[in-house]
Amino acid sequence: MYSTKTPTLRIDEADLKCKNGCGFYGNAEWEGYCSKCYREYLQKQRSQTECNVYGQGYDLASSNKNTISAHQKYEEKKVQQEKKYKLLNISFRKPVTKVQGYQELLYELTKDNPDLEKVKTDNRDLIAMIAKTPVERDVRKCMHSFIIEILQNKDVKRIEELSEITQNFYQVFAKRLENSAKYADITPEIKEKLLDYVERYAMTLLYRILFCPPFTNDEEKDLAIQKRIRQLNWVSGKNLECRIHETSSEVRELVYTSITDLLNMDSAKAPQEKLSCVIYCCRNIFLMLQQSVGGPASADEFLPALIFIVLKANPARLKSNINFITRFCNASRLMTGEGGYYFTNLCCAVSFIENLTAESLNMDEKDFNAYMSGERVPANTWESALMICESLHLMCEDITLLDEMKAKTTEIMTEALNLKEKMLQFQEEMKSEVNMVLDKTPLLITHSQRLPTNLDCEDIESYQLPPPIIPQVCPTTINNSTPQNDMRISLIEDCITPSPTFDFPSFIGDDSFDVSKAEDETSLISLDTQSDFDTQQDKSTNELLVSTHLNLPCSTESEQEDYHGFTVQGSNIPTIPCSTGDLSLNSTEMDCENYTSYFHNT
Amino acid sequence: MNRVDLKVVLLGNAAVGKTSLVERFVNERFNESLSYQNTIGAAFAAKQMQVNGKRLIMGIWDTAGSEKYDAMSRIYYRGAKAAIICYDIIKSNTFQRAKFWIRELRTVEEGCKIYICATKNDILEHGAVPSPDINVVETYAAGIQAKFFITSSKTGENVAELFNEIAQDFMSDPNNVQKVEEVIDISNESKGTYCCQ
Repeated sequence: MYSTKTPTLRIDEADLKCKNGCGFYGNAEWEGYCSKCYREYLQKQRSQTECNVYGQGYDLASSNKNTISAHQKYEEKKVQQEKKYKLLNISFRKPVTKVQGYQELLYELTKDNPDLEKVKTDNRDLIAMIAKTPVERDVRKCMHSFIIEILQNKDVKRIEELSEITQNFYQVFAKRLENSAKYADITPEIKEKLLDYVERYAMTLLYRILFCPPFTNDEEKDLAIQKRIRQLNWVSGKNLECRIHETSSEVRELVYTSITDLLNMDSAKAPQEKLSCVIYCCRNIFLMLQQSVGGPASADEFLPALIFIVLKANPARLKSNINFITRFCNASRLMTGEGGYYFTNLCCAVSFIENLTAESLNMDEKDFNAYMSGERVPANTWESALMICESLHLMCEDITLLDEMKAKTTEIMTEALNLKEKMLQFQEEMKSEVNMVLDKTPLLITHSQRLPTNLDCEDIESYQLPPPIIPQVCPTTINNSTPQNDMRISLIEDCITPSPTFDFPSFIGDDSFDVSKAEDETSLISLDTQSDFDTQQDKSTNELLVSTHLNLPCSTESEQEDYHGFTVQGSNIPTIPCSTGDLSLNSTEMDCENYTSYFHNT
Repeated sequence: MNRVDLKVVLLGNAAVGKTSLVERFVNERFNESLSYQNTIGAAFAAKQMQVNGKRLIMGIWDTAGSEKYDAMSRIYYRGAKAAIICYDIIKSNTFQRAKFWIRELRTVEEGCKIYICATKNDILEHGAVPSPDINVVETYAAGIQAKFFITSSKTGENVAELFNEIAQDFMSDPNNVQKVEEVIDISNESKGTYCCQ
């Protein structure tokens, strides 16, 4: 009743109390809970997130919660948002499962951590120096207790508290180094190194837990600044009044080196490594400014240049990295020197970018808005450093690429010409070799093989002929015949021999010599067997005898004169390898020509 | 030289001579022609100093003077023990800006001592007239309990005195002395160890 009458601006006492209704006062920082309830709430939220992300019952969990109250709806939304970010980042970070205790977590973090190994190898000398001394044991003990403390508190305390624990540890450890008797006989240089090593080792080990933890809004800020920088990609060096001579190649090279240095910050693990990336980046900027200004640059030139570099680099997880350095870097050691100065400048640059207005770029509000919304691309595009730098850089890259390609092409061309020459040479060599071989070994048929030939093998009628005359009867007739006939028989027998490569059928036909000779010129096939030969021979002899009996010697004689014998003809038959060789050579020549013409075409 | 005992911020418009002041102090030289190339940047400098037989390292932070960075200048002040606010001795507008920084510092960083520094005193020899009048600045400085120095980086006039004064003032604070002595203890220890070795 009272609260309804009060103006809306007045805060009811109940609003100040913890949302859980436990009676204690709440805090806006803790989302309206008291510190105790906030911790419980956080834990609950975390377990829900994990359940949603990794468990099966995602839908179940959300449907259960949805109906209860508006507040829990909001809670749910937040969980979902967290889940989204977690999923986005899942490739960067392994999920931290809640069930495992800190001992297992410590084991998991220590095991197979290449960065940790790198820290160890980098400090090999230092570790070797203190090995097996009370110093090593003490350092180990301090570090272990610190790491365990962080692991125990990681879910309970806020990031600021964790940062406080870390800073305290650094201070206590430094004091210990100064005052403890165990460290009495160690030089200050070694103490410095020990401090550095402890910080580096602990932070590399805990990196996964402390860098951009899910219970902070670092990731949202990362995304916001990334988006902002992307929107501002049209800002040129001229807008920022920074004196960078983009046209000079050395300056451009330095711009790119410093951008790379800044981008490296995300991959470095320990805060001092990240910080040294910033230092390298800034030193390169000074080198670049020296080229442009012609003398040592002051902060008036440095800050705009750094802003320009940050805008062009758009480093990944910029806010997370800055927060990580601020929270977990040994403030008293690193934040006062050169690194601290550069880091402060980086923070300034980021804050400038976040709060950038038309006024800070010395331009019209209208123009600024047009550029920001992407409606307009800067008219002086060719002047803008971004365009010039990028296109020039691209051009340089392209030119080097082209040069490489040109060199490769010439190489290929010479190789091709070489190959062509070799091929021609090979052709000549082959030709001469083949000719030589041909000259050396002309194809001569030295042995005459008697191969059976029978043209009538397929003639069924021939099988129906009367059986051959029994040899015993013949001698009498042969003996009775004239010497002229004898000679003829021997001649015929000679003529039967075909060439060894080609089977020429017998020119002795069934009916007459004429027929058989005609057959001889056309047919090249003989499938006769030895047995056939015998019968054939017998048959032909018989026929010859018949012809002699018929008194037709003149015809046979004329045939003999026309026909010079197989052996004589055989030597005139061109050899096959020769012609095939020629053919193949011709084809290679053609191929070669084709190849060269192909290259001329390309 | 990572450890710095005393952080000093330099504030002032662009081209009032902040960089030259640091250059003169750290390297004891003045670059009229901008001809030398061996220092790459003059935005941050650290110098070891001897005060009352004690050593301390002074880190000098240059800041960008342009008005568009005013919003961020607070980040630079953080933890500074002293601030040198420079203005051009003949340009009154730079003095107006100096007043702005003094107000800023007074509200943001109370523990920071303020040193007003008029630069380019050497040009008065050529007949230039200081603006505002030296007396005006002196009264103003006394009013805000700040120290006032008229310097010339070209001749080196008052430059070393300015920084020595800063160091002296710093050491006169017992809290600071304690801090510095801790550092010196280490160096003494180190000498001892070297002897033993």
